[in-house]
Amino acid sequence: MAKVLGIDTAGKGLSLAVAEGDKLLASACLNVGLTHSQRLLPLLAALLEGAALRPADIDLIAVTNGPGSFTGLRIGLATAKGLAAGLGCKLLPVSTLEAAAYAVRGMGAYICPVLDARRNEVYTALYTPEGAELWPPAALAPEKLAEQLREFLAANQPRRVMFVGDAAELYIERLLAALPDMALLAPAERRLFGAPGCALLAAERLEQALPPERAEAFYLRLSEAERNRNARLAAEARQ
Amino acid sequence: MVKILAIESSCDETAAAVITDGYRLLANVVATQIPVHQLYGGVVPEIASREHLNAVVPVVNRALAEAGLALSEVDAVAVTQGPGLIGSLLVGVSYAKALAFAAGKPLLAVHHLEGHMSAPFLEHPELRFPYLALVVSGSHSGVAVAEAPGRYQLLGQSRDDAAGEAFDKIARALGLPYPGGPAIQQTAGEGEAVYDFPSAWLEGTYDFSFSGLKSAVLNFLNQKKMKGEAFRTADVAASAQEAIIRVLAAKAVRAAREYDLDTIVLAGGVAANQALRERVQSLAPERRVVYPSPKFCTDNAAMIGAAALAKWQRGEFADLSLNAEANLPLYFYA
Repeated sequence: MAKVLGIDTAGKGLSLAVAEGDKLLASACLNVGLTHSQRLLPLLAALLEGAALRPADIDLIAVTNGPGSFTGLRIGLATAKGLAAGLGCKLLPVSTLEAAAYAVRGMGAYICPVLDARRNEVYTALYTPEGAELWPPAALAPEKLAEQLREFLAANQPRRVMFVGDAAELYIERLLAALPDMALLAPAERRLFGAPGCALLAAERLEQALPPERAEAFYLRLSEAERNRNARLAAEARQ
Repeated sequence: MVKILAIESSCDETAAAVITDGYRLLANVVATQIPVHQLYGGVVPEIASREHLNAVVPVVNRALAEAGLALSEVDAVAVTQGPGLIGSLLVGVSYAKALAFAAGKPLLAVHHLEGHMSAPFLEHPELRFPYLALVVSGSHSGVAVAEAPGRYQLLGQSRDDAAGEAFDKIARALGLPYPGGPAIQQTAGEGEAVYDFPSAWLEGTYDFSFSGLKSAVLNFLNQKKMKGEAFRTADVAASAQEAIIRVLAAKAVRAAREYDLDTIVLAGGVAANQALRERVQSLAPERRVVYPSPKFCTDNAAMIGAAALAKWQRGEFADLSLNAEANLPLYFYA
């Protein structure tokens, strides 16, 4: 059975995992503030050694490709591409939000990953309690998200939503206040580390693997320069 | 015969090269992003980083294909560690580290400016240390004594804008395209340096300053506009170019004499400027002035490979915790 290495560097936490089918063989997580760029490969080397695996034993590289920190996404994707090219294997991008939701599936609550998108917004989406996507990824202010969730939960059962992701702790007070008796916070050890979900989800969809040059980041947002330029062109078009 | 795969991504070119003993290039691939950044009048760091991520695999694969080598036949992977745009550097560093780890190859970390200063070896393998290097590009302007491979003494550098940056800003003010260096050189060729724009001499140092010149040109253009006076863009370009190159050339030649170095190496994108090359040679007719072809002046991975060859010989390898450094200093080795 194929061994899948999952990588998640899209947010505050850095995590790696190796999955085989529906079995998690190994995982490693860091939440120590050091840069992912410095820690990723030494952690991978240690993880593989601990699992008595050689790099060549890996059959597929999976990586969370966004949304998330632009720089974090690129560290993960550039590393994943280099590993895939170096091993001569394929690469499978997995939604950062879906991988985060995977950590708390099957707990009887809708799942709402919230990742820090700066500018007082979160990257978010909504998943069923089993982890199927209901709302597509978006960048939203937490207040706006709470409003949409209140409306959704008024019409759906169970009337509970669990928040997961690196912005959950930051905004949980506001979300709890806006969604009384409906909001839950994922346990700390399940909040920051998307790699196990990334690897296990990839193991379910091996046929979607890509050659490394075809894997792209899903930034969700344009760069500031592109936004400004588009706004200027739109203003000129109106004149 | 050692074969090194080199990767460079410090600014807006994604580049890969394969080099072997004697500075012999087996492949040299550069994917430039200039057309993308021209829309914005200069390099946009976030866009550059995104472009690098999309380009790095095809560029490296093309270099290996040009060299006729499989990755397994390469002996080491070299990469630009810094200085440069951090987001851009991180793509190359992350990719190179992962590639080296997965393929079981040693990793070599190269300083971008050491790369530029090593570029002349690609076409002049007989060049010997020590030499005086004038490194002038879009992000760096410095005078250094290259004492030995990996051993450089930085004598001075720009206190504000780099020379290439000054060319870019002045070109933008004149309505010329990005990058400004080639555009100004071309336009200057049709004009005369009739305006005496100020050069900052910063006497007693080998430092440079180009922000005053940029302001002087902007003021000049504003005044002409307010008074409704005509002027020739070509003359302004020629005058601005003169104000930049006279100070670069004079300091390079003075340093070569002070440190008693027979050879002056011009490196970096601005070293492609013909007027600069001629000026340095005319100020120092007794010295050998060496400069790379334009394709090795602008950012490329061949020069990173050239610097990496010496590191390979010294056995100076980087480990997997290597990080990109936006402000990596030009270092010394004892």
